[in-house]
Amino acid sequence: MTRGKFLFVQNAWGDPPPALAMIRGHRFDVFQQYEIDRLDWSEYDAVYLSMSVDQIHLVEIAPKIEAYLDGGGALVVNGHVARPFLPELRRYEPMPRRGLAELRLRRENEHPMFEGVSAETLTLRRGVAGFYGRGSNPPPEGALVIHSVGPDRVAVDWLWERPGGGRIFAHAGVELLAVLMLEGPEQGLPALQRIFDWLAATSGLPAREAA
Amino acid sequence: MTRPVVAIVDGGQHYHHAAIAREPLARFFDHVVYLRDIPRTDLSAFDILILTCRTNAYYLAPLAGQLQAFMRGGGTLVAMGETFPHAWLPDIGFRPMQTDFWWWLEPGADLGLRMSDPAHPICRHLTRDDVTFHLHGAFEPLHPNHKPLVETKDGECQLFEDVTSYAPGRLVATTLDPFFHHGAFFMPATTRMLLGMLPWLIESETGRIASRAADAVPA
Repeated sequence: MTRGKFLFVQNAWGDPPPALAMIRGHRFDVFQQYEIDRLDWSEYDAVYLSMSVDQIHLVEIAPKIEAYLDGGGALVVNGHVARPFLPELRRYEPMPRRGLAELRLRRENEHPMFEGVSAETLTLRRGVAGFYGRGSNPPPEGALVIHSVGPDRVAVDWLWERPGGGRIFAHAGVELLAVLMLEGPEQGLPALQRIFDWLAATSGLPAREAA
Repeated sequence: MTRPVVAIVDGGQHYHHAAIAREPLARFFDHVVYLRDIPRTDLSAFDILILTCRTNAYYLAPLAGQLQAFMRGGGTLVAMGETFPHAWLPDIGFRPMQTDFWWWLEPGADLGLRMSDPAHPICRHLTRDDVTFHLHGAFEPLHPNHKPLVETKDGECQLFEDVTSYAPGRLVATTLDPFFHHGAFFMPATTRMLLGMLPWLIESETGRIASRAADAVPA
C-alpha cells in the first residue's frame, strides 16, 4: 500500500473526527484553518477540507489552492459550497423537501473509492435517509458523478480531473469522516480506508522517496 | 420604543451563510460581522451579538476580552451551540454528551427536554417541541448566576440567561445547535427554535433598553 500524506483542515474546537486516528498506513497533519496559509502543501497527496471550513478564507487563499492543484494536488471538498472559492465550484442547490423516498442515492458511476459500499447502504444511516446528501454542488461539465440523489439525480459526489492538473473530489453532505461512520467503524472504516488508499495510490504528486 | 440592533457573526461556514443570508431568518439581522473582522469592529453599535453555532472557539478565545466588554457596556451576547463558551469565558461549567441522532425512531420516544420555568417570557415564543432535536452537552456545574431556561428531565441545563455576571449586559448561552442544522437544510425543529428564540431575544432586549432609559431619567 502506498503511504499517503494528507492535510486535514479543521475549523472547529476540539479533536478531529475520531475516525481519522483509525485509518491505517497514512499520515494526517491536522491544522486549524487559519494556520494553513503558512504551510507548504506540495508534500500532500490530498488536502481534506472539513465540512465546517471558513469559505471566506478559502476565497482569499484561492491562488494558493489553485497553485497546489496545478502541481498535481487533490482537494477533497466536504459540505455545501456557499462561496465558490474555485472556478470549478458552484453554489450548493438544496433539493425541495419532497419526502424520504426521494432522498434515495444512486450510484451513477462505479469508482474504486466506493468499492464494497452500495448506494443503498449510504442512503439509510441507521434507518434514516438524508444524512449523506440532500442536494448538489453542481459539478463542472465532464466531471465523473459517483453518487446522485433524488428523482432529478443531482450530483452529490463528483470527481473532476482538472485539465491543468490536479483533481477535486466534492461531497455535498455531512462530511465523509463522520457520515460514513454513522453505522459504526465496522462498516465505516473500510470505506474511509479505501478513499484515502485510492487518493494515495493515484497521487498526482511527483514521485518521492519511500518513507 | 427603540428596536434593538441585532448583529450576527458569520464564521464563513456554509451553514452560517445559508442561515444568515436567506429567509426566514435574514430579516432578523441588522448587521453581519465576519469572524475575523470582530477585532476591528465597534461592538458597542449593537444591542445583541449572536455567535452562530459551531463558530470556532479557538478563534473566539482571543476575542474574549472584547466580548466581555461588549456585555459590560450593556450588550447581550448569545453563544449558540458548539461555540463552547466554557473554553473562553470564566465560570461556565460544561459536560459534553454523546449525541443520539436516532432517539425519535422509537415509538413514543421523548428526548426529555422541558422549559425550565413556564412563567418565563421565553415560553411565549418557545415550546419544548421547538427545542427537541438532540443533545450535545449540558452546562454543568451550573453557576448560580445562570438561570436555566431549557433543561432535560434530569435538570441538565441546555440554555441559560445570565443578567448578573456582566451587568448591565447579559449572556445567553445554549448547547443546542439549531443554526447548524437549519443552515444545512436539515431538521425542521431547528428552524422553529430559531423562529422562537430570535423574537424572544429582540423582545426581551427591547424591554431591557426601555428600563435602562427609564432608570437614566433624572428624578
